[in-house]
Amino acid sequence: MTARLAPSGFVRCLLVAVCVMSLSLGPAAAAQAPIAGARVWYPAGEYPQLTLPGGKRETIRSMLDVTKSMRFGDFVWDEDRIPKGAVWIRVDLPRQILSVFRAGHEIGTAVILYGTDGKPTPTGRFAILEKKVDYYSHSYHAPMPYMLRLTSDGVAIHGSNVRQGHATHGCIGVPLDFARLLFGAAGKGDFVVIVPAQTQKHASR
Amino acid sequence: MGFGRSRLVQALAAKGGRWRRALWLLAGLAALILVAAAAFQGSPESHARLGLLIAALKDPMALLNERSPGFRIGPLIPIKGKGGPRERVLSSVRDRPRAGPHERVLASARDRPPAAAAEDTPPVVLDMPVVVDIPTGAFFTPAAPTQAFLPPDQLIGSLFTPVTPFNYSVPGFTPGETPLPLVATATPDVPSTPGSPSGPSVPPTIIASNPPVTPPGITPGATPETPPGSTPVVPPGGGPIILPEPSTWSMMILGLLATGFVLRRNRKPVRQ
Repeated sequence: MTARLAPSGFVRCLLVAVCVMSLSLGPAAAAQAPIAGARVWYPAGEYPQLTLPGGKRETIRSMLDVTKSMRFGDFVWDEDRIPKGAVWIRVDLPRQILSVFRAGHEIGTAVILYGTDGKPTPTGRFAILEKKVDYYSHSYHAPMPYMLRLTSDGVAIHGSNVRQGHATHGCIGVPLDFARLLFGAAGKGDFVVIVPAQTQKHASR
Repeated sequence: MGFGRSRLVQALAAKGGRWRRALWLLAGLAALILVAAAAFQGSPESHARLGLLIAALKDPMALLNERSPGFRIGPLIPIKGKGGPRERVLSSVRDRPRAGPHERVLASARDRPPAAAAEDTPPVVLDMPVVVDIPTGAFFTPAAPTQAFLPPDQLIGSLFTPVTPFNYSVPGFTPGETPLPLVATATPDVPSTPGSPSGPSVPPTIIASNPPVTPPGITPGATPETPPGSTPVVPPGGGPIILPEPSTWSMMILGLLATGFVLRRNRKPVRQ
């Protein structure tokens, strides 16, 4: 008894077989791959550089490989096999992304909240002036856990409820767990670069 | 036979381009799977080569673009300060009365004069404290049955301000203030002397609460001192009457009709 398949049916069976094969091969391949999905290592001598608002350039040795769009409240933190070194933070306001770099390697990234048009977040290069785990703002009657103060007038990076459609009064809000990790990684004096919308530049090699 | 085609190839050629496309697709997918498997299970050199390939494809800004949730749009809610600045109001405005439920009264009580009109009624001027003569042995507890005859608004008002159905004035008191309590004496040998202001003062023995005692057998509305406007409404059950609204009636009737319709419709004859 022979069954005759139409061409469309044959193509469908073929696609199903390919999907099954890829699903069966996928986890094994990912477990053996040292770079799959987690990090993009740039080759030595060809490190890209990120141009900062002040004109300074920072060399990037590796980046976290987040292949899909992050949602509000999401973050990634991976400092495995990353050497110790200088920490700096890049806050990308138009993309609503914060990235933490250590020794040229990106170790963390998160979706942020920032200020509204009435009270915008200042842009430029800042140094972390103060660190406080349990900080309470008397100006806004709100707790600001894991606060990293950037300016003397109260702009800081702190943990907050990062949800879509929310905004701050000028601070940079990050998810609470991410704020705890960032608080442990960053020290007083480390610099933070807040990138405004109009000075976005592509990385140069 | 030489280079004669096999039956399968001939059949594919006869079917047209669909089979050919399917074969090409299959070959491409197989090649991709083989390349990926070789790369992941290969040597460290192959890993490095694959890393170079991925790094060449992904510069940092492209990675940031991929993970970005997008540009911010739409109205924003500030997360601090509970949604904005605090509302600050004057103390005079702070205690403004809130809108409460509508007062619903019976038709007989709806047309009663307002309290201001009741205050305009000429008061009965008494020159001495009110003394009610009650025979000995005729005492009873006056508070509970008296308040049970009151309508709800007067009942609530009596908790905070004494309600006086009698409109009398006592020297030293102005209307609207707390009037003197009624003084009932139980000494029959001392007669009440309403006409003599300089009479002997009788020490009060029992202080009755306001409104005054209604003896049994006397209708409160028939009390001669009671002004006609302030006749308390006595519901038949002793409590407030709850009258359904027309909308309630209509909903109830509609519900009954719907229930009847459904019951009638479900009563179908059984098919044999």
